[in-house]
Amino acid sequence: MHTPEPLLDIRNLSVSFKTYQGRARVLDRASLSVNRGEIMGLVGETGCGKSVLSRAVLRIIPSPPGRIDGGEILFEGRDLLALPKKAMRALRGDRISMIFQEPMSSLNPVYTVGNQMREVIRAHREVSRAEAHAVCLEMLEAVRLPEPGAVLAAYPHELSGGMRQRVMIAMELSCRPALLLADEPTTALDVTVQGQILAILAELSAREGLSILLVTHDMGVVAQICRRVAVMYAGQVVEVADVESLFARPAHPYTRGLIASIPGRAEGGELYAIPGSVPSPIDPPPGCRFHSRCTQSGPDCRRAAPGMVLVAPDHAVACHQCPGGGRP
Amino acid sequence: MPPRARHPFIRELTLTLGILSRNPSAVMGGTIIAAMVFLALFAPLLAPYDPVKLALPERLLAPGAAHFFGTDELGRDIFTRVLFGARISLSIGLLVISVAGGLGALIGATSGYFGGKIDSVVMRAMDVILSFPSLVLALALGAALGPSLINAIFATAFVMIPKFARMVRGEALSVRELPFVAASRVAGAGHAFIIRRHILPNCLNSAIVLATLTLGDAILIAASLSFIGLGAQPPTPEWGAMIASGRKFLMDQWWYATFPGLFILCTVIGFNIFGDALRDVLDPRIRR
Amino acid sequence: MSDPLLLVANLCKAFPLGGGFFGGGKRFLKAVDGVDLSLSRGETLGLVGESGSGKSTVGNCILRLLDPDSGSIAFDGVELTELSGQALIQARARMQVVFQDPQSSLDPRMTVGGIVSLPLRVQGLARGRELRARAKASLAEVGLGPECLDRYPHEFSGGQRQRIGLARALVADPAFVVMDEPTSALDVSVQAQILNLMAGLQEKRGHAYLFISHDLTVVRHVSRRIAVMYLGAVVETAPTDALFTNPAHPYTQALLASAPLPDPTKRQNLARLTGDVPSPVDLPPGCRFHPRCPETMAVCAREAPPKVAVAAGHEVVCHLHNAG
Repeated sequence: MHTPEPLLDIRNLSVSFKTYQGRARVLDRASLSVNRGEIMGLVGETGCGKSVLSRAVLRIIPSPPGRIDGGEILFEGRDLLALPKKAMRALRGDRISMIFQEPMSSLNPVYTVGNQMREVIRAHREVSRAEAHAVCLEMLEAVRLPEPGAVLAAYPHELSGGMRQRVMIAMELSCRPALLLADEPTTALDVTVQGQILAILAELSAREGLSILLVTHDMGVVAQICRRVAVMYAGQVVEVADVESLFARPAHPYTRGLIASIPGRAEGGELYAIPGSVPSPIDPPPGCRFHSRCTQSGPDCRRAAPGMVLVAPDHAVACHQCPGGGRP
Repeated sequence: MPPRARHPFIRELTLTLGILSRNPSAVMGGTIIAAMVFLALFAPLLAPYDPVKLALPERLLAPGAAHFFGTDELGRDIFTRVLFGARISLSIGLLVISVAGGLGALIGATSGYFGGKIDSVVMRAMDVILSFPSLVLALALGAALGPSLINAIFATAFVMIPKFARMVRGEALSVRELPFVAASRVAGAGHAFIIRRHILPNCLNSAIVLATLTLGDAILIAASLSFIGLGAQPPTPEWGAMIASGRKFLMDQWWYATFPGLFILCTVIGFNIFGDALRDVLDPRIRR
Repeated sequence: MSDPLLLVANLCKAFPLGGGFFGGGKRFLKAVDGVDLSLSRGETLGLVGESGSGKSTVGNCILRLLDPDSGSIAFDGVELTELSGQALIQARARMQVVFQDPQSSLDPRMTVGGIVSLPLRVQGLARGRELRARAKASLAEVGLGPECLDRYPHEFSGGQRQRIGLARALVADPAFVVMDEPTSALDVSVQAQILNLMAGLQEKRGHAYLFISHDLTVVRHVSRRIAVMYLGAVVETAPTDALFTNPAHPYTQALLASAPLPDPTKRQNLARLTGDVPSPVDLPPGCRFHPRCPETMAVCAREAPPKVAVAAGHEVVCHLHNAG
C-alpha cells in the first residue's frame, strides 16, 4: 500500500543552545512527520523541546545562542534547512504559518488590525487594497468573529484575548498556507474560549485541508482534536501514534506515566506521579534520556539511545523494552 | 542536589563580572577605577614626599625627575599631593554615595511600599530638590553650612538623595506586588519587617548601578565645592582646592592646576563609562 | 452538623476605574458581587471560574489582603472584617496561603529555611534554634531534606518551590489554607506529585483548603464540594460528584462541556458557549449570564435569579430551577 508522502518530514533534527553553563542539547535527533490535511499533536512537558522544534521548522530560532546541529526538514519535498534566506522568507506566511501562545506578540499595537492583515496579504500576493480588504473580511468570518468590519478598524489592545487569537489565526491563514504551526495557541485562554478556538482549528483543517502541527502540554486538547500524536521527552521524540492507539495502548513508559498522572481519568485517590525530574539538557544522561526515571529500564537503556520501532500499524516508539516489529 | 549553595548576591556578582569582562567599556572604565583605587590605597608608600610639609626653596619648580608633576607655591610636591588627593576624593565619593544611597533607598522603599498619600508627598519633596541644578543647590547648602569638608559631604549627599529615592521607589512599586510579599503579610508580618527584609534587599541591584553612575558626579560636586573654598580647607591636598590655588599660576606654571584637573577628569570618566556598561549589562531584558 | 470553619456571607468588593472627568459618574469593576461560601473543618472546597469570575479576589478578601466593601467573613466564629492590628495578626496565624507562581512566591534573597520559618518568626511563635528545627520538620513533611534549609530558591525546580511554599504555609499549623491556583504553573506529572502531597497532608493534619482554580479536572480530584463562580457571583454550589453528574446551571454545563477530556473516543462539542468571557464592568441587568446563556428566558433579562436548592447541599442561582 502506497502512503502519500508527508507534507512535513523532520528527520534527525538536532538543535543546541549556548548557555553560561555549557552547550544545552535541546533537541536530539528528533523525527516526526505531518501528513496533508491532518492535525498532528506534539505533546510534552516543559523543557522537552517542542517549541524549539516548531520554531526550527520556520528557522526562527535566534542564531547566536541557538544552532541547528544536524538533520533535515523536508517540506513538500524540499529541505528547508538548505534553502537560502530569501526563499525561506517567501515561504513564511505563504506556505507555512505560525501562531503563538500570546497573540500580542504577533500584533503590532500601533497599527490597526486591518492594516496588519492587509500587509501580510500584500506581502505574498499581487492584489489591490480593496481585494486584500475583501480577503480579510472573508477570513474574519471564517474564524467566526462578529462584526468583522469593526474588528478590522480596531487596534489590538481594544480586543479581548480570544478575539486577538482569532485575528491571529485569520491573519496567518489569509494566504491559505498548507501547514500551520500552532505553539500552545490556547494555553493562555479561558476554557470556554479555548473550546471555541479549538473548534475553529478543527473546522478549518477539515474544510480547507489545512495541516496543523499543534504543540501543547494538554493531553485533553490532543485527545479532542488531533488525529496523530508525537510525544516528546527531554529533546527526543519517544512515541508517535494515531491518537486512539496512543491513549488506549501507550507503549513508552513516559507516555504511560503521563497519561496516568492526569487527574481527569481517576476518581479521587492517588494520582500516579512519575518519580524524579527532567534531566538537564546540558548534561543529559547517556543512552535513553528517560532511563533514570523509568520503572522498566534495563541494561540496554543506559548504553544506547533507542531507535524508533513499530509496535502496531501507525504506532512507533523509541524504547528498548518495547517489543517491536520492523522499522517504520 | 548539587552541593553548591551560593548567596544570590555572590552568584549574581560573579556572573556580572564575567559578562563585564567581555565588555570593552567596562574593562576600560574598570581599569581606570582600579588604578585610582590603587593609587589612593598606596599613596603613603608611593609618594616620594610629604604632602603638607613646606619647602619654600623648591617653590614652583617645573615637572622633572625630582618632582614628576612639579611643585606648588609652597614647595610641596604636586605628584604627592595628587596621590593623597586621590584618597580624599575617593573617600568623599564613597561617603557621599553611602549616605545618599542609604537614606535615599530607605525613603524610596518606604514611599513606594506605602503608596497613596505618603508616596505623593514624599515624591513631591524629592521633585522639589531635583528641580534645582545639583551643583547650584550643593553650593548654596555648602555656603549655608559653612566651609568644611564634612559640610561639603553633607551638602553633596543631600543633593543626590532624590535620585536614589526615585529609583528605589520605582523598584519598590513592583516588588510589593510580588506574591512573596503577600505571603508574608498573610503570615502576619508588619510593614517594617517587609520593607527591611523583602523590599530593600530586592531593590539593591538598581541602587548599586545608580551608585556607580553617580560616584563620578559626587566626586565632581565635592571638588567644585572645594574649588570655591567651601569644602576642603588648606592644607588638605584635595584636587578641587588644588585647582583653585593653581588658577593664579596657570599662565606660567601650567602644571599646578593641570595635573589635579586631569586626575579629576580621568576618575569621573572612568566611573561614568563603567557605570554605563554596568547599567547595560544589568538591564533586565538582557539578563537571562 | 458541626459549625463551619469559614462562613462567607454576601461578600462584595468593587474596584474603582478611572473616568468621570466630565460629569459622568465613576465606573466600578464589581469583582465580587454578593458571594456566599461555607467551609467545614478538614474539608476542601473548590472554587472554580474563568478570568473575571472574581475567585482570586474572594481569596484575597478572606485573607484580608484586600478589604472587602461589605459582607461578613466569619472564621471560627470570629468576624474577620472587624479585626485589625494585633488581633488580626493573631488570626492570621491560623490561615495561610499558597500562590500560583513558583518563581515569584518565594523571596529570592532569603534562604529556604528563612522563608519557611517566616510565619513563626513574625508571629513570635518560636525563636532561634527552634525556628530552624520547625522549618526542617515542615520541609520533611513536603518531602524535602534538611540540606535545603541553607539554599536559595533559584536552586530548585518549579515543583520543589511549590513544595517550599506549601511548607511555609503549614509550618504554623494553620486550620485553613487558601490555595490560589497552586498547580496551574506546573507540568502534569509535577502537578500529580503536589496534589498527592496535599491530599496526604490534609488527611494527616486535618487542614481545610479553599482550592481556587480554573481547571475543573484538578478541582474535581481534590475537592469534596465545589462552588462555581461567574462574573463575581457564585452560580452553583454542590458536592463534587453531584456537580459533575448533574450540573444544574447552564454555565456549569458549558464549562464541563468545554473542558477537553483526555479520551479520544469521546469527542465533545467544544464550542458550546459563544462569545468571550465578559469583564465585570458593565454587568447586564437581571441574571449576569443571560446574554450568553443557551437557555435564557424572558425573566432572565429582568430579574436577578434566586438561589434554589435542587438537592441536599446542591444550590443553584438560576431561574430555570425556580419552581415558584
